[in-house]
Amino acid sequence: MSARVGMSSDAEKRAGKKGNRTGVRLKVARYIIKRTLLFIPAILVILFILYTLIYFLPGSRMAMMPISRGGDALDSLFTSISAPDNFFTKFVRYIYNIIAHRDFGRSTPSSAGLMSDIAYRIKNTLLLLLTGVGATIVVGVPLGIYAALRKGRAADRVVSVITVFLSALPPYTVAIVLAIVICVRLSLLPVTHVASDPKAYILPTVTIALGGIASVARMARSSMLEVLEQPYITALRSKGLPERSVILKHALKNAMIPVISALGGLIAQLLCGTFVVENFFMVPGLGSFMLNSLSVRDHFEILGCAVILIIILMCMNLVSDILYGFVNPKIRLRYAEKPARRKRKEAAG
Amino acid sequence: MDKDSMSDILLDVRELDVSFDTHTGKLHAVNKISYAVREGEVMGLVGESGSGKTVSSYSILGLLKPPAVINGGRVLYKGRDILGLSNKEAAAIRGREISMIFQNPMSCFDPVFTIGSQMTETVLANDKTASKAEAAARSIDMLREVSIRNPGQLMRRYSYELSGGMLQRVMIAMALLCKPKLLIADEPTTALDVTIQAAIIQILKKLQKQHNMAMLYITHNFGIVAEICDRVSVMCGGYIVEQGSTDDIFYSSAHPYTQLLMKMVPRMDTPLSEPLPYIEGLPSDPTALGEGCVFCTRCPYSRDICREKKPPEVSLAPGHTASCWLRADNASAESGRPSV
Ligand SMILES: Nc1ncnc2c1ncn2[C@@H]1O[C@H](COP(=O)(O)OP(=O)(O)O)[C@@H](O)[C@H]1O
Ligand SMILES: [Mg+2]
Repeated sequence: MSARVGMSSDAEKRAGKKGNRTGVRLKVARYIIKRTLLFIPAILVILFILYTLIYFLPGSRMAMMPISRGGDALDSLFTSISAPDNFFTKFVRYIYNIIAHRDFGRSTPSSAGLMSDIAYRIKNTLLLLLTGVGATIVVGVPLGIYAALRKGRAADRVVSVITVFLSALPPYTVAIVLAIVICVRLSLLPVTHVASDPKAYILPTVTIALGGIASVARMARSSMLEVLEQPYITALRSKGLPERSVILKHALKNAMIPVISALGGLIAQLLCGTFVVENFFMVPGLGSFMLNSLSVRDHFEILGCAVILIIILMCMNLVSDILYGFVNPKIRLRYAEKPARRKRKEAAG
Repeated sequence: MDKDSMSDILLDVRELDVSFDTHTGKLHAVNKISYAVREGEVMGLVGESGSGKTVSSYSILGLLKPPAVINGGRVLYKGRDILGLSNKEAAAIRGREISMIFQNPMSCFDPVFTIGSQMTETVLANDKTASKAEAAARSIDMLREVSIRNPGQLMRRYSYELSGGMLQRVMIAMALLCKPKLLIADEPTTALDVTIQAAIIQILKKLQKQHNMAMLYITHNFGIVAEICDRVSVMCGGYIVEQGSTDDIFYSSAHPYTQLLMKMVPRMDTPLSEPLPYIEGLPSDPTALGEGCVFCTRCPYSRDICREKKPPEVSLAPGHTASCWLRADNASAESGRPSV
């Protein structure tokens, strides 16, 4: 999509003649850039709220620790105007340190700081999250579609029972059962994390994905059933299209619209799952790190982790919004509209 | 056209019987109806809402889904029974031999594909030898035939960007892409503005003549029947109660239901203060059809026998039949046609 932004003027002229499609693409690219830029104020606001909450906790390290690194540009500025050392100046310093020094602050002088292992931890968490989301979609969608196509038959009932059962189970129960059966009884996989062993990622991923698979399968099933009832499906059949293309091309793409729009929420749900799972299987990720920080009340680390998790979540949401526009042309047009017009339309309708 | 010749019969529906398994019991939507459509002819299927017009036309193309059950009958297309074909066999007939246009054009297009991609896909599915470019060219030609001015641009649009009248034109174009011998038009103008209705009917009439295509035209509007149909079958409560040429039906209709239905066409010269005409009483409940005539509860001429026994089909003139006790008596008495 972003490649479209840098179109040559020649191509732009042709686009103008060809109609509005290419123009829409350009505007969609602009929409994506705008959404990305909006991350910055959003993150600042969230940071400020979390910072305030933590700062005023009884015994907050955030309030007690000197936050200055000494000798940098902001430091000399603050001394020259003899700024007081209070809540606000500390917040400015905190933000400045993150941007200028990639330093999220330390609760104790000896602490290694959040950034010491951060890349490794983010990698582990992202790996679990992405494989979890991937498995959820790759397994959940076909399962739901299959159940919808076999509506009322044995296969549909089996899928329904399994998905209801799975979505009722919290991840920590699933983790315990899987660990006992697969690792302890059958000794098929290692119980705890071994960095060099890719097999160690299997159980955590499965644990995270199971709940997601259940909800995606149920959503895909009901959405597919609804689409199959639509008049346009009958109309497409009446044109002589083969059943395969009616189902797998037309019905499927329409049925995916609500599933993809729910993806953002689902990702957030799975991210919470990684917390539990990382701790249970001792995967060194952001979740287990953050829980550890919580237990030793390292407020700098807690805030830092929260910010990183929020950024991950926002990126995932953006990706799912873009995907949503990709399957739903109506939304694509909406993205391309000027915000003012969109608002007026919403107010009117 | 020689009315007695059987050789030019394109579609022959015989004793078609369809019901729905509902929670409240078996709903008999279509009761052993029989009619035939000859090549190049326009047959009107007329009846009030809920009389089974849509269900009977869906069964021709095999488009009914559960809980619909086809209880019996035959649908002979060019002499071959096409009732209960597999999906694959039916797909070979749909679009190529028999095509259909629907009542509500707004909901009959896939909203996530462009008009163009749906049209070219239709061509490619029915003509394996066509290339993509040919398919697009044929689609554009066909859109021109339904009087669409800038078909190239329209091909890139989505259905929700177009008006109902525009979409109905596109639907007609799409149905005729593969030159079917029979077009089923299920109330194609009911959902549209009156001003657009006339244009759509003109387009259908023109194309039907041009392509010498037979048409099964479903409507509840006798004004349209007069405009376009050669012959008419009148449906009531899942039964065909009268059948005949358009002239037979208009000038010497024999069934009280047909006569009432014809009076129900709103006229331009009725004062606005008067309520719109309607047939008094409720249509009989299709889940509990009694022994008698379907129309007996609402018929101004109903007698005891009408409630007790189904009326036989009486032939009144060549090609003109009616199922009504009034006529059965007269027919047996060999008398003429009294006006009712
Ligand atoms: N899917 C369905 N389930 C149950 N009953 C149906 C269904 N579709 C149609 N019917 C019933 O079949 C009868 C005929 O309907 P239809 O053919 O749509 O009438 P028309 O097209 O003449 O208005 C009606 O009584 C209607 O309620
Ligand atoms: Mg209907």
